[in-house]
Amino acid sequence: MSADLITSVLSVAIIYAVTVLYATIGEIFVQRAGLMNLGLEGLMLMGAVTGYLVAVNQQNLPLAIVAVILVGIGMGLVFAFTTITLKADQTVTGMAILTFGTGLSGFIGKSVCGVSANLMFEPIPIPGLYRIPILGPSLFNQSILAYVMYFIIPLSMIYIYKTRAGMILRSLGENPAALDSAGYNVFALRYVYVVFGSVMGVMSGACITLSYTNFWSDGMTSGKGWIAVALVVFSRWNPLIAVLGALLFGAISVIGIDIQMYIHVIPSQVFSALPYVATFIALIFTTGNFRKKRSSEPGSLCIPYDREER
Amino acid sequence: MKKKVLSLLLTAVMAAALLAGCGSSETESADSSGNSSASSSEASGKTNWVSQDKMGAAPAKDADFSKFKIGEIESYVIDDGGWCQATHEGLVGAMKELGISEDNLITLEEIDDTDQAATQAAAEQLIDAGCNVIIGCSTGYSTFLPEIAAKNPDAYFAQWGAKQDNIIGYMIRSYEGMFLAGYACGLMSDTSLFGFSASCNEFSVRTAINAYALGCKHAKSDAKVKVACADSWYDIDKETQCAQSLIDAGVKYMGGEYSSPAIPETCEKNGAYVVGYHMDRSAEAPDAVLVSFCWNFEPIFKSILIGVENGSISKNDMYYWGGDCSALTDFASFVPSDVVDKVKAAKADIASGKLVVYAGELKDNKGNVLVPKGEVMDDATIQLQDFFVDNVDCAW
Amino acid sequence: MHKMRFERRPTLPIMIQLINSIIFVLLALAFCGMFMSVLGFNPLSVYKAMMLDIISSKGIKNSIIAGLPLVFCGLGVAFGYRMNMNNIGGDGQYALGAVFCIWFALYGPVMPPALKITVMFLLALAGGAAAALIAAIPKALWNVSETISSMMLNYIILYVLNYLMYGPWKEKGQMIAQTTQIKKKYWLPEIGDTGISTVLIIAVVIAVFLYWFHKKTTKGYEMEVVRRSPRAAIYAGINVKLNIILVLAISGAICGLAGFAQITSILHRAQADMPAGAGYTGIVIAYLAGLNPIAVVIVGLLFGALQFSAVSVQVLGVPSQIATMIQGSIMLFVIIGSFFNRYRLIRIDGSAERGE
Repeated sequence: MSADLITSVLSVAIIYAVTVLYATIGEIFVQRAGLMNLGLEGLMLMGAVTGYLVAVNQQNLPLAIVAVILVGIGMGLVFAFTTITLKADQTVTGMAILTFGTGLSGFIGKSVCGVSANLMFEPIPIPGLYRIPILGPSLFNQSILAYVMYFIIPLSMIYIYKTRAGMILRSLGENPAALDSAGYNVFALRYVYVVFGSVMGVMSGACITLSYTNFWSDGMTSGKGWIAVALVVFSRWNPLIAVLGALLFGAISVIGIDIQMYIHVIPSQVFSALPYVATFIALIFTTGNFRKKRSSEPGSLCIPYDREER
Repeated sequence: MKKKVLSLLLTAVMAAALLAGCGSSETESADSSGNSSASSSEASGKTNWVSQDKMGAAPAKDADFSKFKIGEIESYVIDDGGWCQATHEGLVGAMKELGISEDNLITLEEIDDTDQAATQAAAEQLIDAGCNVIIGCSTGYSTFLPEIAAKNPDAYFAQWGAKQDNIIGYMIRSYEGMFLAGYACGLMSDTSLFGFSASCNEFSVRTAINAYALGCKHAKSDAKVKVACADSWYDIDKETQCAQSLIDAGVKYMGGEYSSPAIPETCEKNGAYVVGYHMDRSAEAPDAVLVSFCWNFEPIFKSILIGVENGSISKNDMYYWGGDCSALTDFASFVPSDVVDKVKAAKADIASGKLVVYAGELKDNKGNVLVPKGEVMDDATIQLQDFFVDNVDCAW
Repeated sequence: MHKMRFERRPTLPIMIQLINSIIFVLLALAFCGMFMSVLGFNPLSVYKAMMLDIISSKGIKNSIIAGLPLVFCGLGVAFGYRMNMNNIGGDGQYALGAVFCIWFALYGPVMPPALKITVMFLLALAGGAAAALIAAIPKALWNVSETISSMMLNYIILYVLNYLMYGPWKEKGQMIAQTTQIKKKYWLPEIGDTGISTVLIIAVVIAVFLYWFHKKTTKGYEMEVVRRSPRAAIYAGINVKLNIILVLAISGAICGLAGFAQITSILHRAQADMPAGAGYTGIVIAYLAGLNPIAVVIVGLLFGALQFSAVSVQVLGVPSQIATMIQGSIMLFVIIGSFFNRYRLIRIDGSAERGE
């Protein structure tokens, strides 16, 4: 019974984590490049509705993913143009993307509300591996989108910390002026990372409607975009810690409901709030500058790069 | 200078407040009542519980519905696969039966029932468009509609939920359907542990929980229902987790109050069974949904429309109907036929009055006696459901 | 052929700002109109219907009902934003302000209305401030991002509200997750019989006060300095930490007044999920108003108008999400347009040193 419990908690935690991680890892890249896109929730909703629309109407999953990626590129370009070329305030631009994405997704999603797509990325058990006790059924019986994420995690770690491109990425966020002097095109690089982050963000949404569940409903991301934003900060821009954070968040949510079924003295809302309390506390301890040491935050985060002001 | 402005501000507030104090004369009773609607409906007119015998009554041969314009205020979209869809389909069905064209129906969706401006705008919009019958699909509108109803006495407002002034109330005895669903689960299950995945701590949810629990008990006298609370009307993560937690706790048969396919899908993945809620959910999880409880508003709306046409309707009317309104879909093919037969028999017993769901002796889960032996619970108390029956294990 | 390039504007005339905003708002409306025509609607008739609805007397009343909470949240967020404090926690501050306020209204001692309402006012301020402080203190002491922490607090405080509204404070014998109405004698009156609440006056007074504060007081100037350069502020002897706490506390307090407005003038009670995203809309409003408190009042009321007029266009068949879409695209276009506030196009020729 106990082993089963761990497996099932892990299962739900993993599905939850994968969904949030696409957006989180994308945003880690974006923030390391020195920008901040708060509109993840809007991106997710647009990704969710686009993927689902194509799945319902064209009954073709690869096409749905292509459509989602195109939407991601489009929205990423809008954000990049506004914040990099036009040097507008990033928080506010993010909020604009959020609001517009939320409205637009509901608008175009109306036609598929309550309509069944009957087409999703089914879980694919990996032969052999999924028989491993406890971990097997949860880790190795997931959809292909999850398996792709299993690769993205180590790849992004290697990219950021071990490659030359990763070093450039880190400089983009810390000291773009130095890069500029060295002859790199800061603007173009930032464009690339913002678009990448945006594509990852919409993929999160596609995960929800095409693998986690298989339906569309207005606003169905229920705040996952904000959780992703929180995870980025909590993880100190490190993809591996982001994974742990996402798993933890998912696990605490499940356990909260488990505990609340047995302990009735404490109101159920306390357990619903538990993941957010945990994130809040974790945020203080992981990002708090207790000893006046250098923060690991990219030094030029949120400051648009402007040659004139060098 | 700053202090001056601050005190200016405070003075503005106090001045406004003073005006409140010596303004129009409020009667003592309005002051002390706290505006409880139950007492005010007594003051304006006795609630008239419409008898269920009127269900299915046909309109007169010369009844003329052509001038009818009907408006509906929905809290979400009409194809939400749940509550609003049920209301809408019931209304459309009733109109069709009476020969009223769908062009005479104006639907306003996504009117949040906590949003005063939107609700008022919606009601005013419908009145301006000439609606003589306006349906409010959600209880929350009752905070705002009575005032508008009073200003527009020619229009008939009908509202889901308990009775409010000037508004026809309607509710469905969902407990009949859920009781039968619980009974089916009780008959099919090997164990006495059942589950319920609940959204929010609200009367219709509590009704569903209690009825389900009583139904399970009807089959197995030691049946216990564990409740997992999502604290949200709509959250696929929470719903998935609730179902998963119940399954982990050993539950194989569960009921639920939910709006997404998350719970049926989770049950199917784990070999558990669930009662569909709001609508037929067998398509979402064919191997897990044994039967679904559906809201059938058509008879009620038909009766209201007929009553408005022939003038027999009254604004004190309260519809609290069960029977065909509290509908169950067909059972899934994996449900044994003897279970189906027993449930059918129980349904007939409820209709004939032989089987009363909330009959004594009934205790709540804190040990208090709700209904003494030999008696039955009155409708007003059933509507509020401010209790959980004794075999419900719930954090609320 | 002359070459053109963009150059920073040395000054920013208000006329240019205004024309700029109007042009881009119109562009945004046209953009949304595009989506409408794709679905088969005539954008002009839709906009006309919305305008007519807003201008009607019922429309103005409804705009104020919908807009007042947004105005307060906008004022609060704008205040915080002036010191680069991203107060995303408007919803939570609104909710906690409402909780403190309704607690006193329903469970506090009976008092003369003027006094009781004043205390309710102060408690709403206190509730909003308290919610903001929980995020402000970690920011001031340990530089923990207030953006994320205030957002987490939104969820937490809303669950507290949820618990109270469904549980101990729910109106007995009723079915909806809300408290009883507060006694009529504690309702703030309306202005004459226009049906407009006096809370509007309070909002305007606060807006004027804030405007004067930013422009004319020493403290306001201090905050401006801290905003532009924390280092310079430290050299000047200004206590940065205290400023952070003060700014966020005041920002939260003002958002808490949205709860006060609802309880004394609009709903006359508290409900579960009362904020309904007002905190986030407040951010949009603050930005579009250029952080100018007086503009916030106008923009806030316009947003209220936008929100409920979307209801009326449903009769034409337009999905209600059009309101959020319009809000978002106006914001996006105005942001893009603000580029022209900061930069202007100039020609590069021999006389480049001669600026304009």
